[in-house]
Amino acid sequence: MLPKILMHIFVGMNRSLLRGSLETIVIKLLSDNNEMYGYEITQKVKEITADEFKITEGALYPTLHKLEGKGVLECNTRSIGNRFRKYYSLTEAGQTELAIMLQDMEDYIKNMRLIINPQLS
Amino acid sequence: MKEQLSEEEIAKLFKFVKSKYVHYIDVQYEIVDHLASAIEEKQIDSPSLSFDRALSEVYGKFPITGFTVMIAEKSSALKMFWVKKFLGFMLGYMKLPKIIIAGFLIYLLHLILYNGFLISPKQLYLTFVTLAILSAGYRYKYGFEFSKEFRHNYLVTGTYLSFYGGVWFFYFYAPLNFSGSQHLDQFGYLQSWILSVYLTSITLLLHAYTFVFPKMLKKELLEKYSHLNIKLA
Repeated sequence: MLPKILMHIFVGMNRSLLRGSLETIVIKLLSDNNEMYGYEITQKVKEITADEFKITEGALYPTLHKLEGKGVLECNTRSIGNRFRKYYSLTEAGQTELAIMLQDMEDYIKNMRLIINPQLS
Repeated sequence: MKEQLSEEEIAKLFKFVKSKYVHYIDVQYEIVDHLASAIEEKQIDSPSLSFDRALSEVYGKFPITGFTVMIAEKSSALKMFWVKKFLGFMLGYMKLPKIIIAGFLIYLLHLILYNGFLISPKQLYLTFVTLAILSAGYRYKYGFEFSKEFRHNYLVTGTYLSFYGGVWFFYFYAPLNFSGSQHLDQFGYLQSWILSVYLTSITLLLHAYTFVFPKMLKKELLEKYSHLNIKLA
């Protein structure tokens, strides 16, 4: 599950903020769930964030393909009844990428807090 | 248990996706599954919702450009994939044991270019041109990837061909550069070493383009795209 703190900080965020965090969200979800398909990712994000984050298909698939191209994700297509489904999972490089991304995100959040609420520092 | 869309509805989705200018079969499969999953979910929430209405709502969530951005990103991802495979192959010759083969070739070519060992540089130039022509002929005769079906129907082969098509430039650039030399029989010491490294890369590329990369593509199609029932020669 995505850290709760992330969820609270980004609640009500605008689209560009969400787009900027999409790679981290996708990688984190795949790390927690082993493998997922595109639609499942959009639904999972909605579920975790109680409908606050809505990942559009137009943003998700380009991100998935970009990560696949970078070698962060790999895919596997399986039959599900009368159609085929493409499942995405993290590669070894993806696991490393996740650690870096989460650290970057933590640092980013910390610094944003300092800017937004300087009296807290 | 979720209700699945019928065969007819899935066929309708394929038709719909094609009508939105998605000509690549491998991409169509991915989009159809996404649309189908979303429609099924909608129909579970509102059982009276018709298939057509649900489809229009689901498609409405895609940007105004439809599936264009998605295809463009997928295309870049696949190109990146092939570039990595290519670099992996070339870098393999910089490590043991393959570096021995590369080193031997470089040295042999240097001997030919600098000392006229075994054959003259002119004969070497002709050998390169002949090999490049033979390789091109071999691939066009036996290469399944050049058939019209592969060129236009699958993004995975389309990106492969667009990338490897560019490789041909390097094949012919080398001999051209070679033939442009005013002193085809006289190469300086440093010049012969540089040309040897370049020609070795070309030779390895020629070998890979003729035998290795097509196998790589075949493996990729069999492993990741077996659901498309692609007939490979």
